[in-house]
Amino acid sequence: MIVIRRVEGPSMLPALREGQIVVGFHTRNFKVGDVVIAYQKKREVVKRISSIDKGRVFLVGDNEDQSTDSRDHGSVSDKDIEAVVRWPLALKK
Amino acid sequence: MFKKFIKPVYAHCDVPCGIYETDTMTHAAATVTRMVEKYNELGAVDSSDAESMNTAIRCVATKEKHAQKCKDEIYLLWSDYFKPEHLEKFPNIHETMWKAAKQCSKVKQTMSLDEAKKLEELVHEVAHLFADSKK
Repeated sequence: MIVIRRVEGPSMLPALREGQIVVGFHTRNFKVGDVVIAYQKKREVVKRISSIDKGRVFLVGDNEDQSTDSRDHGSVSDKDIEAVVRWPLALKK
Repeated sequence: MFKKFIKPVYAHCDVPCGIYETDTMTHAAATVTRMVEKYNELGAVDSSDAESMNTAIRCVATKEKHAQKCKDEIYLLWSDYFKPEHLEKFPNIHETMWKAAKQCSKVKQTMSLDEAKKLEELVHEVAHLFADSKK
């Protein structure tokens, strides 16, 4: 299934900017370095996977100084990963 | 326009600005020192002279205000900017911030130039720590 969302906030700069449209795909096949849409603190966030350990996924925004993420809230369950962002294609840090 | 209808996904930051700096606390600490110096330059304050009393009180009040401003800035950096990975890299964060915050209280309690200078030194250490964490 496809997930289309609009980015709100600066935490994924420079890869993703405010207002940008992202397209994600539901999949259980994600890895460290992937940009994902996940549930954190009851809302959908877009962050990059920093590490995966025993079903726990640590999410960090690329713009580390302006990101509230797993460094503040802790890791999320792998079940909370909703989709892997596949568009835009170039999501290099 | 159609973008508005697309559900947002948060690439958020709980602190909206994300702007942190140490210039304000450095300036505040320097002001504390200057106020102590100015007060000492007044010499013996004549309590019957309204003008000299006014100047003396303003020195103390300004010192108090800037000591608090300095403390607020230290707390902001300590609680909002520094993150667990900073602590791994700089294990002295808590002690450095704590000492600097404590010194802000100390300079409120006294008109000692030595204590004011010590605050400047501690704030300088905080500024260094902050700068190093940005590298």
